Amino acid sequence: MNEKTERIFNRCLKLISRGYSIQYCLKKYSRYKDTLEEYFETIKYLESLKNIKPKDINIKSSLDKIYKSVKNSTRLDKAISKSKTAAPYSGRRISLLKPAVVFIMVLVVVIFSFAGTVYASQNSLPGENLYTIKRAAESVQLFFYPESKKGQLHFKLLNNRIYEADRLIKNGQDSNMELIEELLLEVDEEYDQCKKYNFFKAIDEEETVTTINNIKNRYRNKYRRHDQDLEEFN
Amino acid sequence: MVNINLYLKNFKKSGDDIWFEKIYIKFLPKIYRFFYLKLFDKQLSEDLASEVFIRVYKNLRKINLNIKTFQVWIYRIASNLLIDHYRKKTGYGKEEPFEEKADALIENDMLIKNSPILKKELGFENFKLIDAIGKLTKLQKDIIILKFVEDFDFETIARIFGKKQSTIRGILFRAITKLKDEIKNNK
Repeated sequence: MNEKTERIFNRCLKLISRGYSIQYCLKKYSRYKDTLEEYFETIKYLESLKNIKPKDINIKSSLDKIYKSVKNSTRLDKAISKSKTAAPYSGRRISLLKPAVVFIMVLVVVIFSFAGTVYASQNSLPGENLYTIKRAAESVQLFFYPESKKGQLHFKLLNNRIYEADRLIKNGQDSNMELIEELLLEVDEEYDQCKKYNFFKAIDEEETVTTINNIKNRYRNKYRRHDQDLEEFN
Repeated sequence: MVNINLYLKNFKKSGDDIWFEKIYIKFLPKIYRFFYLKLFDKQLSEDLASEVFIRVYKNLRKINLNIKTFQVWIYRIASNLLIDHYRKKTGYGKEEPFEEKADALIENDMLIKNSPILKKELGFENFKLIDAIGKLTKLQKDIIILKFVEDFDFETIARIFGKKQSTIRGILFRAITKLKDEIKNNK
């Protein structure tokens, strides 16, 4: 019943919006006349609310108020946007992002400078400031290297030590003697490690031994002669 | 209604305040009624209506509107302002959902407080009707006022509330049935 009433009520509203009168609707749906009359009476009551109007309003003064208020707020908006263009990073969102951006930038700088230092230290020699970093980087590399490839890494380190000793011998300074001796001991240690990991199966052992002996002989020739000179002087 | 289209077009084109005044005169009673029938406070309704027109004046030059879209826009502004007003009154935060219950509470409270003034202002018959309207939900009230007091078509009402026309028709029928019964019982 209610659904049917709703349908008829909506049909009546449609007819009225097309210009038909209420009387026409009541005649057309005469079976529902009483119910529809109650609805139309309620609508009539509602239409009487159209009489509610703002009384005693001075249109001119209220409009002036509106214009004034808009002008003031526009001035304020302009001032805000001006201050924003003067200092583009003063916005709330930017101030929230700022610490994150600064943190990322600092992190990037730290990572790059650390990587740069490690890279720069690769050509350093014993006694130089960066040499400690080079050795630390090698220790870290050794720690994380897979066990199966450790022989290869020890061979690389062996070559590094020989290269360093070679450079120091070429420099020929007296103060380098102790450093070279230490390096040659480490050369022996690295050679033993290579053997331990059976690395020489893959590479010619004799060639390595020859290189090691060469460097040792060069050291002896240079510094022993120096020792002899000292003895003769004394 | 054709005139409103002309006023909107001319205001956009020339920016002359005379066209805005015409729109203001035509819509002020409607917007005032929209607030008054919910708040039953003359001064507050005038202030809120004025605030609506401040927003309209500020933005009307920036957008292209015809009479239908203008009606949707202005009533949405009014509806949002009313919600803001309720929120301030109840202390609801913007992120919290605004419940119908709180809304009804405020309105009934106002109705009781203002009943002698209302009787004087509206006459007895109207007061009985407003008492009955006070028992409807916020949405039912809005729809019934827009349809029968402001003579809006279903399409515009549906656009204002972002609902289907069939839903609006259903809500309207339930609201008018409730209203009819309330008036019948009060007789």
